[in-house]
Amino acid sequence: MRNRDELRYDLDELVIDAGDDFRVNGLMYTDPHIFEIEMERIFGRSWVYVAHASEIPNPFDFKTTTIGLRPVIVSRAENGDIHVLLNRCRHRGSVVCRFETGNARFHSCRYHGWTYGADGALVSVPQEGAYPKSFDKSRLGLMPVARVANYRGLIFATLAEDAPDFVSYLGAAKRFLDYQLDHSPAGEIVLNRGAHRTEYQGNWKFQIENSTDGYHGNTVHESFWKLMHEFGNRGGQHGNYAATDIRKILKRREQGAVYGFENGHAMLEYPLPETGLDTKAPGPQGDYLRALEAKHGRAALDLIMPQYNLTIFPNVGILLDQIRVVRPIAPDRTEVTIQLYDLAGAPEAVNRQRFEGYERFFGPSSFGSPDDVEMFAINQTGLQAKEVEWLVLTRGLERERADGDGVRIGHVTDETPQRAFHRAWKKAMAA
Amino acid sequence: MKKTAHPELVEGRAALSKDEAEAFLYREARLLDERRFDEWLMLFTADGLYWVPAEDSPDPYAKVSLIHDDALRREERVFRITRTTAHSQDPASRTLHLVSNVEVEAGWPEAVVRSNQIVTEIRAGGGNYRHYELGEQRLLAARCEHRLRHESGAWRIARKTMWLLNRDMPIGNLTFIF
Repeated sequence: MRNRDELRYDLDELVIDAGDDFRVNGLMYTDPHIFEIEMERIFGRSWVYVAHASEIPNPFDFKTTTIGLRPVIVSRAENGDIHVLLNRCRHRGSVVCRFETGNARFHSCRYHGWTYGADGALVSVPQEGAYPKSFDKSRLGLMPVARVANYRGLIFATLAEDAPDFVSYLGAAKRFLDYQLDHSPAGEIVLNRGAHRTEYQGNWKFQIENSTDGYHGNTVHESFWKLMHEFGNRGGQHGNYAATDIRKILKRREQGAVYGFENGHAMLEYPLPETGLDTKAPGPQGDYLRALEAKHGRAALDLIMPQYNLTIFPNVGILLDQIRVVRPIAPDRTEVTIQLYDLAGAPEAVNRQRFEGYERFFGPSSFGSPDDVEMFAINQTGLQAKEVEWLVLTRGLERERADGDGVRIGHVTDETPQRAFHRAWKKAMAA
Repeated sequence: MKKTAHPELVEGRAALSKDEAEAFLYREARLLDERRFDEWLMLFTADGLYWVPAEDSPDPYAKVSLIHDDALRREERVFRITRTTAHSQDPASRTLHLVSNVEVEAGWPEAVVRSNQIVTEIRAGGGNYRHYELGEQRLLAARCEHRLRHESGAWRIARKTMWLLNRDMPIGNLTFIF
């Protein structure tokens, strides 16, 4: 047991990945020093999701967000280019954009009035004549991130000049991200349904790990399965369940698979509804499937339409019709923004049905996700018993299989996704 | 609604007085605070809506809401709290409503009652047991609008809307009924 008076550890000791042993040290969820290093080595170097292009469709549209703790502006310039800029005045360090979203040709610092264009260029400095001759506005634009990627409308940014290109970073997870986006007959999602903004008193990694955890649902969401058993799907369907009998639901929850990808991406997959895909069905649902069938062919539908809960390292999930961004605030404090998206080209009735299913399970007053959040709070509390040190993540280690490209596939209740996350975490932290 | 010359009558019917409106809101608050949820459900019309928007939204389908409950979802909400072990309500929230600034826009058969409400909430672990998020007393401040409809001999809620002051901010556990 480690002596608590000297919390000394090597960062690569925090994840033990050796043969049939896989453990992570509880300090990674509680220690302020480790949290600070995460903000540099995880968020300062990975590709981090910052926006969807549909949130800033017009010239001069912007939104603000964070990369780790860094405030950033995602801004569309007059020519349509998307810039991701550190939201920090080059003069004395104030944020220059103080709104969540909006449209502005210029961002003017409230402190002394330095003013920047939508592309980040410094365009004016009040009483500029007082600066020395060496003062060069062209070198004092808002600092851009190192690189920006727009993958089918999803905007990712990295602060690392030497990051791999984004598609390489996605690796084998790319196929499943494509399937998610292919749920839209137009191949495009639209974020226009507002957001749920939640907070919890627990570490940011709990929410990401839980997003691909197929083991917790039977216990954590028992209340929801009972609700489905009692009321059926009339109030909005959750996931791929056609049956609402609780015994059938629990049986269904043993079908599917989990995936661990290189670079820490992870996925939980539940199969197609037990009734299959009825492309002959009358009405909007049938119209929707027929539109997808016309575009991709019948065989591809069976690949596109299962439920995929995908997380892209480090902090974004694309799952159950939503983009979920997990924002670390402190070791024991996290904010989560969940945005339901519409499927462009799908009948309004289909998007409405997705909306109802989403609202039933997600958001601070809903019947699903608040029970997950309660787990994060008890998790954070239990970890105060630091003498125990380790969390055990060996579930399914001996039955998971390698699938090429560094992909591992496990039983739907196995901890293959969490191990993939922690392997990437360890690699990034030790670097 | 066209009002008659007599201030207490609307189209010849007894208008909802401020006293009656206040009594209605106080009773609703008491039913919630005393966890008499089945009686609370009875306050609504069959097509009644309970709506807590997450941000300024013209209608409950434009943007996702915090609460967007028709009769079925209200019944589900009460079922979940009272008949299942929902971890986020175990321990359950205690609530205390303060109702104030009541204004009545009398009409027949519908009337609008506006109020300000402060809901104090706590999930107490009991004794010395604590975990993160337990034992913190929280305040929800809301501007409320009750659209009441006179139906089957009584005023009932056709639409209850609560605009929380912090509706578009990151917000914690709101799984209790307020």
